[in-house]
Amino acid sequence: MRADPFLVTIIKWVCWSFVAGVGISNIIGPRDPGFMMRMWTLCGIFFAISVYLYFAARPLVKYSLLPAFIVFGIASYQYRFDTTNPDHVIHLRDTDRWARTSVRGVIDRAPDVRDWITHIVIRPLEIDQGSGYRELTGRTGNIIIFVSQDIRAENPYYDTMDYGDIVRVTGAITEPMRRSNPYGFDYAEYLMNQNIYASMYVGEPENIEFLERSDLGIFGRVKSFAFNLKDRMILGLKKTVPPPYSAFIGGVTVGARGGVPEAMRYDFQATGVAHVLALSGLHVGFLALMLIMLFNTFFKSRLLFYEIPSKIFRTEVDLTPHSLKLIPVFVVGALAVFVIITGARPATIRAAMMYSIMIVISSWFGMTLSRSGGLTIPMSAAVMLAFNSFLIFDASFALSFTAVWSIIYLNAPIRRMFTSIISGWGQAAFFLFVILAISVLVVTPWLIYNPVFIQIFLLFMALLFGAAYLLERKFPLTGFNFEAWWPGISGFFCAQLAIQIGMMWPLSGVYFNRFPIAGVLANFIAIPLIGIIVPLGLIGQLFTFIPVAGESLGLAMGATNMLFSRFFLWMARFFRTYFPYPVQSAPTGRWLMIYYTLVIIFAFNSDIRLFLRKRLKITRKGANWAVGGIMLLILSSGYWARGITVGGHRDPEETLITFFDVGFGNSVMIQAPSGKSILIDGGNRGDRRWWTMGRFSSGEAVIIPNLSGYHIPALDIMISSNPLPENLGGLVYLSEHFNVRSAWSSLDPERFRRGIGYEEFLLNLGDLRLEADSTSPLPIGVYLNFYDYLNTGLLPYSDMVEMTPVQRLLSRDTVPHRHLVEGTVIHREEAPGGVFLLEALGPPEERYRGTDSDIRNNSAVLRLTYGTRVFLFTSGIQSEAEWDLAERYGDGLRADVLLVPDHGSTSASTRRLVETVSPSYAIVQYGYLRGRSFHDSQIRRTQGRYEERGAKVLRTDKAGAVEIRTDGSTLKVNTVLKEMN
Amino acid sequence: MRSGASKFIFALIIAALAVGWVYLRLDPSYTVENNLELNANYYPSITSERLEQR
Repeated sequence: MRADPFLVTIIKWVCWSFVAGVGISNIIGPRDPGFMMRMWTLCGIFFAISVYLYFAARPLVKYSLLPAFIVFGIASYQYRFDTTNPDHVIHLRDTDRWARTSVRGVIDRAPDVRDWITHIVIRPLEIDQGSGYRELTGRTGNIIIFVSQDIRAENPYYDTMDYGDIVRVTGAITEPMRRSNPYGFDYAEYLMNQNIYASMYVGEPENIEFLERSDLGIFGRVKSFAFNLKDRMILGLKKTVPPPYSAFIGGVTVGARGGVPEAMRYDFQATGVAHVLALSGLHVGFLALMLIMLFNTFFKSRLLFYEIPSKIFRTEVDLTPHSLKLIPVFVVGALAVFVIITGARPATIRAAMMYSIMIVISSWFGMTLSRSGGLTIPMSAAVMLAFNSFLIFDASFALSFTAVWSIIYLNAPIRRMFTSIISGWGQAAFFLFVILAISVLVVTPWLIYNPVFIQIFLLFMALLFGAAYLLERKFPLTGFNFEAWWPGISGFFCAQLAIQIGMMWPLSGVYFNRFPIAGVLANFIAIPLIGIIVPLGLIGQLFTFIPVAGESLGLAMGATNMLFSRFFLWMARFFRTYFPYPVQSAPTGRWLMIYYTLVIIFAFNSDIRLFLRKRLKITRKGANWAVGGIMLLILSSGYWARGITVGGHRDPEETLITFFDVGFGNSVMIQAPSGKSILIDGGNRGDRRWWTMGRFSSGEAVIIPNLSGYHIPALDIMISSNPLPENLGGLVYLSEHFNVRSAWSSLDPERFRRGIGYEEFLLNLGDLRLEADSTSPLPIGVYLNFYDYLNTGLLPYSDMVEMTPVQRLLSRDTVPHRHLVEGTVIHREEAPGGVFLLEALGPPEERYRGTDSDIRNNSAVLRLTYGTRVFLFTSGIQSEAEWDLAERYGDGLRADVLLVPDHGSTSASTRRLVETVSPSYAIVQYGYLRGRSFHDSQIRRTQGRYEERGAKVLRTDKAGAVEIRTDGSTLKVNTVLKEMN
Repeated sequence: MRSGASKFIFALIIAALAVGWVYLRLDPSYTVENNLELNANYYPSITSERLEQR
């Protein structure tokens, strides 16, 4: 059977049309149900026209099918948003977090067992919210239940929770945690993509109860079989490989990442091989090849399919050609089971579908594998989006498809480039570039953050390649070209470079805010290694199913795999240690469009040149120059045009101030009209060893993603208002991983130098209470944070001015560190809305001593004035400093917006300050931190003081981050979690 | 798929078993019981007894 070329073209284009429709719908966003009905109607009309054209004028049918599928894609996406069913869990959420709602539901997927908690997802069947159980019908959405391990001792069901169980869960149905800052990971959206719209928490043993097993149905039984198989494979792994290699191999074979240490995960991310741990198309590919090989060998067996049947039927019987047709059935079935086992992530579904389609159409329709790539990509994308349209911008989905598109379409042009252009001396220059780049990165990794160095290096490389090109024309270097490479190496090289160009370089910033420089090299080692570890791991686990000798075989296989894993982990740690992992700002939409236009032209450049020569009768040389010229034109357009940005942004004359939600901590981002970026404090550091350091790293989880989302490639001014961990902690991470141009501190850098001892630190700090209590966690935590802060690229400004330009270029320490006291002007500029001035009102030259908290009273107090608008940032000052400020400045302290002192503590925000400042908006940066912060009741008392004076109080723990835009005369205030204006 | 690749996979399995056998000779403590004990905290709910109950 042969594939009809017309049919193949139609299938390709309708699939792309459907994908385009889903993408368009994602951009326009959710609409009312009436819009969806209109789309379905339009879709029906187009389909009816298509049916007519198919019989009346077949070649024209694609012109009606394409719009039909675009509209179909739009309607499908809108359908996913349809939560109008009154029984949908989105309408059943409790407003009271202590509610005792009881839900009966069926566990809809395999439990996700983690260190201290297990996640289960239930499809609700009945609910009791105080008036008896009632049945839920229609599309209800799912609920994720977080079951604490604490219940294990009294509730043994914790260890036997399984897919298909019907359970009763009691507790409050709450909204999943939404992103509370302008940019960053949105957990609620991530869950919504999996049809999960609510969450519950089980912390008491009686709040979850097993009722009965559900009737799974045929698909459910297949899933149950797959989950059981996975558990048995994990058991086989536990028997044959010791930790932590068991966790690693479990992760790369069946997606069991429960035991992977945090440090190991970070090593993989930093070296760009995290896709190895997150099951992806790579693993499915290895499995598919292994299955094809096994079934090929089995089904080609002459003994099984010729000799035995011939003996039985006493005649010539050759079943082999027919048996070979069964290979796709078994491979597809095995891949489907694998997808279920590994949690059905988009990347694995994509790969399994593509391999399945490829093997079917090549076995049954005779299409070559390379040609089938053009069909399998849109088909698998369309099928996946038909089931879940929200996948369109899921990271796993986007990265997976981009990678495979790159491998299929960029491989050949890259090979041609290395064969014809980068050959001879060009290739020698290329290897010299690689060796130089590696040497620089290993010996002096901090140079990658130095823009001067980057420019010099790129100029040098341009000259090098230019010289190589000229040398090749005059004195060709024969024998040193791409064709001489071993085909396996050259093919692998082209594929890896294709992935870097098509996926890693543009999309690392979008999804990860980081660029793994080691990724290019690490993947050359990692991928072949994984090609050994994954098959050995799967086979070793399956060996343990064999009775008697199985465990011994599995043990031997496990021992070898452990050695390979050990080398793999060592390699990841090596690259992580010696190669930087810099932050990369999210590219703008315009940048991405320009970049991918260039990539597409590069991918199809031979077709474009052929078109120019055949249709426009241009010479070969002319066509080459034409393509190059078009690419240069598109590239240069990026420099002249203002772009569409990924997220909402500010107007040129606006100042944008963002009060981040960093839990219990301070962090404020200011973007001046000129584009200068200023950050005051960085929230907590998130080191669980010290209770003073918060629960999560604000620098990593909040500030970096938001700098990236705001397209800020370098921070101009970083200010530390005081050395308390909830203010300074996040700045340590930022200094280590981001390009910071200058830093200000309330502590004098000349007296607080790198390597300062603990006693000297406390003495210089001058806080009598901390000195008296020097063995308690707070002063130790303050010191540790500050010590690490100084150990980043900071250098006292006076030392920096003495350095020569070369010393400054090669020095690791490039951030001038200055002291701010009352009267210091940090930044001033003239702007359309008036003068922009950021100045310090405190601490005074003569610091506070002997107060209730000297460290807090000596915080930097900053005032920002833009036009007629005033903002006051009071950090952690207490009553003593507040009275002093009010005495010294009087009415000069008035402000439109006040950052409430000390997170809303009642020991600050005295009546004197509140009356003197008299703000219109009072922002409280607060989040409950057990053992460190105070309670909500205290905040409400403080809140009352401001509201009595007519101020609007915004708390970051309730409203999320607060964004304020001002053009110097008006104020626009928005909160991330609730719109208000 | 070419027969060369099939031979490679089979050779890999045989070689892995051989290397593993040598390693087991050199390290007598590498046993199923020891591995199970070391992996006690890795998916603790997955044990032979529990799987037999299902």
